[in-house]
Amino acid sequence: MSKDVTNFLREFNETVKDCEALLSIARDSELQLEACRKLEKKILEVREEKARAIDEQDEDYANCLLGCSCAAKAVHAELQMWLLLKQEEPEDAWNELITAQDSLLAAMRAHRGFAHLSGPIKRLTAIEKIVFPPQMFMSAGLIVRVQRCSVCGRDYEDCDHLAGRPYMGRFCAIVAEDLEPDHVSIVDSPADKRCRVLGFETDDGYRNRMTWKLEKRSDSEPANEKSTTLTGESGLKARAIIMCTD
Amino acid sequence: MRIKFEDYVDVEAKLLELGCHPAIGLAVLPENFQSVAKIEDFRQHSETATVKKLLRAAGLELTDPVDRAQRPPYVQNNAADWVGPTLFVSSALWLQNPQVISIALGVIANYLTDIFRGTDTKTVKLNVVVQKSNARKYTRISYEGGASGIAALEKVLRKAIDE
Repeated sequence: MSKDVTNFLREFNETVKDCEALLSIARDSELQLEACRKLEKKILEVREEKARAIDEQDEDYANCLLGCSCAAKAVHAELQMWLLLKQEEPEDAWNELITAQDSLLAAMRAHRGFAHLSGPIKRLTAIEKIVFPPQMFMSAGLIVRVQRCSVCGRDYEDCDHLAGRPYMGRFCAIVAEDLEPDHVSIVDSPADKRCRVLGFETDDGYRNRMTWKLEKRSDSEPANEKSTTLTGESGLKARAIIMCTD
Repeated sequence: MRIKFEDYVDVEAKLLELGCHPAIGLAVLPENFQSVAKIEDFRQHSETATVKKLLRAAGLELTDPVDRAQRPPYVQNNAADWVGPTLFVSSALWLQNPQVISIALGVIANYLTDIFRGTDTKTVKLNVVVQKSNARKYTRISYEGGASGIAALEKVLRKAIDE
């Protein structure tokens, strides 16, 4: 490993370590915001360094930098989560928590140098259970006629890349094309925990599942014309996110 | 870990009836193979393509029941569970080259361990259809559990074939 690479990674680790010290609801919001700005700057530097690694066809270093980017995003997202909770924005805070969890898992897949992240993943799982109320998750089923490889653009079945694995600083993913919705279901373990039931109608109005706040129905608004909804067999009306894009 | 045994349709007869290629050795069957009346109705899980690529990369010969132009649409369920395809192992393959199934299960387990790194709660679902030795009887073995349990399926398959 060259001296430049060693220095770059050392500086990256120092920045992330400094920011990790602020991962608590008790920490000062101004300091947390400043840490977010530092991480955003660092993520841009990692992107530039990764471009150089790709130019030099150094796949191991490019994948290591992919992991760095994911790890920095995870800390940034967790800081945002605490800030949003302090601002009484728990729904946006939930989305940041999920981004933090997914980013840590992605860092572990990106490069062997991030094998130590299983501890922080367990910590975020504990935060999910303790800080947030239980959620009801959604899963959308699709019929997909074409699966394309995100790395080479060919039909996914015909190339050599494998979904979820890193290739020269980016993950292979299956890009679904020519698709149609098939079904929506409630599941315990969704692929994306941002897909969840947001709230449901009651006799008095709309109950937010996260905040438990009740938005009262106005007298002029009939119950059956309230929202974009899905209707269950029992007649319960709910509002949910069924699919997210990054 | 949960393993379920069920009788399965006569694979060779069904392939013939639908006008598919005969399954020689190792094959990947569409998820609704038993129930469809024509090839156009076939559906396959979205992870099927990954499994095919893993098996081919391991040097295993794989029979596709249909041509590329007839490739069935994929069913993509956005749940956290990993739902694999239905693998078919003929009794001839088992007799002549039994290590093929061990290699196949090994490469699938290794891939899943790799992509699920950091999570210990992911459930894997995989079906394997085997032909009983010296008989036109078929059994589907449905596996549901962690990625590490897949490799242990080999013994279960052997028992199902020899019964």
